[in-house]
Amino acid sequence: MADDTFTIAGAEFDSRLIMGTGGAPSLAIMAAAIQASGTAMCTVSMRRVDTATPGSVLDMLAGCGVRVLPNTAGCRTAHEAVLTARLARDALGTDWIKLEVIADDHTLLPDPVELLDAAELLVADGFTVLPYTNDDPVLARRLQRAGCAAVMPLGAPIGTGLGIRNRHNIELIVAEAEVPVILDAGIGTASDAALAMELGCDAVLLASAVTRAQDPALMAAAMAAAVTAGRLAARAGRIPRRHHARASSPTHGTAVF
Amino acid sequence: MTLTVNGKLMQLPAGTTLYQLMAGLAGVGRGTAAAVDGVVAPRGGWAELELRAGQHVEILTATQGG
Repeated sequence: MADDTFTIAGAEFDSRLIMGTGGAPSLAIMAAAIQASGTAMCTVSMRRVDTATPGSVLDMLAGCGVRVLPNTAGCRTAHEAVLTARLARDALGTDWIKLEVIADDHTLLPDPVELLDAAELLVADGFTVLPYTNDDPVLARRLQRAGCAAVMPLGAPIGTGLGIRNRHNIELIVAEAEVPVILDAGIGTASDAALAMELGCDAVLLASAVTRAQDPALMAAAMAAAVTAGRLAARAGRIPRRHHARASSPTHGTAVF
Repeated sequence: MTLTVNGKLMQLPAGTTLYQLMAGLAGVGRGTAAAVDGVVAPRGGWAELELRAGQHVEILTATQGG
């Protein structure tokens, strides 16, 4: 949909699907999924060199022609997240950061206090901040006021595949957002991604739903189609829900037997 | 001298620069970054940054995630 690009901090994207690269069985399978998804931006994590293969994921993403968005996954405090973001900037030459500040291993939910603190510090340091946040309209508002370039509320906790648990809150976030709203985390299958777009989100970010699917490339294609379908439906304007039936065939001129 | 590099003790000759450490461990190209004692060491200064005994060095790179 070349006529329906969206923009984050002045950068234009022709795909409304953003892909995480975690969880794929191999780089080759990840690359095939990225190609099938049509995405224009993928996230990466920063880890110690002795537990990662230097450069390989970057080479793969460069080969796919996608923009790299580093994240602060694994950080528990604003201090850790700010340091990780600065290291990512030095390593990758980008001041864009997907900000994650996680409260615990059990829920992987964002810690709102640390998240807002980190967002303020990073905006002040010149970063383009894309925060992974709770599905809380008030926190989303605070992050936006802090100068974040987007807000990225979760549908459900990371990796659960539970879909969008509180669609009303997502609608509230969309209704007052002046920056892009990107549904991030909780997507399980294509209908979840379509619903996110129907609720008015500007884009969807997902990883596990594709990388841990039985056929990642096939699911990536499904997600791309779902995001496109949901976006088209949101623009088209759905019919209102009704309690009773309303005939679609004409009611006059009916034969009398 | 002994330093802690990514959580492990490491023996290095006195006067070793961060650039030399990076070149040996991680490569000095795009994609890696280092913090010394909790502060980012910008890549432009690696060649001049002489490491000292007891320092904690974290060397990170991009990996699949998120």
